[in-house]
Amino acid sequence: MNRDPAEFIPPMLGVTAKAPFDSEDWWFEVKWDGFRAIISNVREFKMFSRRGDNLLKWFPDLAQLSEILPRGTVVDGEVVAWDNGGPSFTALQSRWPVPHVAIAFDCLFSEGQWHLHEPFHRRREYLENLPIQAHSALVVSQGVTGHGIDLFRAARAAQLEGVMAKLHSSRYWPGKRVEYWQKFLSMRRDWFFVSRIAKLSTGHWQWGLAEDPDGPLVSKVMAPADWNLEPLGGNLRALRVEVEYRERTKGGRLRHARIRRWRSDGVEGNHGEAPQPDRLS
Amino acid sequence: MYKGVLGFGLVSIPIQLYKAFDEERIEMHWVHTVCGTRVRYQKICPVCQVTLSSKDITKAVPLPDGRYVPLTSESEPIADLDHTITILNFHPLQDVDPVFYQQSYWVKPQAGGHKPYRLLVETMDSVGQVALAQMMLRSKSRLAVVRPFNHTVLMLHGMHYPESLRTEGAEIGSPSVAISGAEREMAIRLIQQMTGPFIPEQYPNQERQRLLQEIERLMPSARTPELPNQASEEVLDLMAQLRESIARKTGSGQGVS
Repeated sequence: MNRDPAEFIPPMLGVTAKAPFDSEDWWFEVKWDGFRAIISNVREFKMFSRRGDNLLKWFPDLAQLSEILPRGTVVDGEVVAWDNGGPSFTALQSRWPVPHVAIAFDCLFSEGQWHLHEPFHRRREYLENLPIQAHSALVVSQGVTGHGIDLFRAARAAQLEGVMAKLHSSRYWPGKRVEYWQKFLSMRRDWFFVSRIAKLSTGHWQWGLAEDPDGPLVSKVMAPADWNLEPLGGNLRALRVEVEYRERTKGGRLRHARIRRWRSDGVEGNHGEAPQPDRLS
Repeated sequence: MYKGVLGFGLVSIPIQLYKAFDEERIEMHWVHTVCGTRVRYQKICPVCQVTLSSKDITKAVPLPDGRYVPLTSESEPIADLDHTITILNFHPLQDVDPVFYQQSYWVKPQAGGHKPYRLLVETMDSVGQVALAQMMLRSKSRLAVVRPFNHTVLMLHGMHYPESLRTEGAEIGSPSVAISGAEREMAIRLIQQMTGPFIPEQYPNQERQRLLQEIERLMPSARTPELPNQASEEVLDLMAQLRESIARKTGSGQGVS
């Protein structure tokens, strides 16, 4: 293994579990709704996205972690935007001026060596032994062994994205999606068409969502306040939105639906950027 | 910022004062380099080794021999009780040397004051005189010149008290030097070469512009102080809460590491 710890290492990925489970062989921790980050402080401080892009370009405030993460360390984690007492993917993607926190959940390199071949519980010990300054923007993920179902219920009640289950004996598989890591998701996500919009008396826009442009409504959701669709002149055919929801009712409607981001003719956007007509043409 | 009355004989003009200039220096704070938090100042007594609040402290005037004369609350001027700018006399503007001038303010008439304000502006303008006035500003008694500007507006210039001018400065120029006619000629020519109308735009504040550019350049490193820490505390609290809720359920908390 001749990987350079200063270079990007693709993060290990997990599969979605069929159902939450309990097991003493597994570690369970909160799955945070943010951007995956490989944080390397070898030679120089770097934060790579899941695909190896420079995350510091988007979150220059996190350059302060170069003083927090010990030199000669590579950790795997999640960058979250903290808004109103909870993580906000929207705030993160739109780069709203809210605090960012990096939550480290794996230690890939420290003490001058790679730990990829060591079992997760050993890497967890390396992670816990890192001298990380308290009260900083870098936090070590906390979790439990055994109680996956209870943690998942608690995480769902706290309106978090879900729980990650990690097999204690598993090595780290860079760039692989393997079943040694499993996701318990508290919300479902799907893409929908916007079949109609209405302006409420409050001045906010309400969108009707459907499986097909002319299909029956599955949900009505509030568009984010900073989205203005008036320039579209009612032409919504190409606009699709990703919605997060808890479950479907028997009638097929979405419960607890919330817009996450939009896409139109291959152009992607999010809460912070209102779709513009020229983007859509 | 300052609402008061401009008193001119029997006439009182309700007015408001606005600073005529933007702050030239750029606002800056000291922050802790590590976390970006703004530093806080504490008053401490080095002898009693206690932190002091405003009720624990008194103003005192140092004497040359090291003693202090403590002031009492009666010694303090009555703060802004008297919001009156009282015109004392009128003088030609050129009689008031620029050495006395401090901060400049726009004087804006308030309801009921527009007519006498206009009368005062136009009359001073036509007779070529400016008003010397006494005022209270931030609980300090001040002298001021009130004068017409642009024929329609009153401007107020806060002044130093003439008695505070250091007189020894007046004797700095030495009289015992011989200057030749040629030297005088040369000096006059030099001044004439550099003479022109005063155009304010010719004198930009280059130092300020340089600093603004520097701030612009450093803008990507701008950060919100303290809040990231608060956020990470909340992340930790949330994770701790979730773990506790499981520990409660399982009774002993067994298996929670």
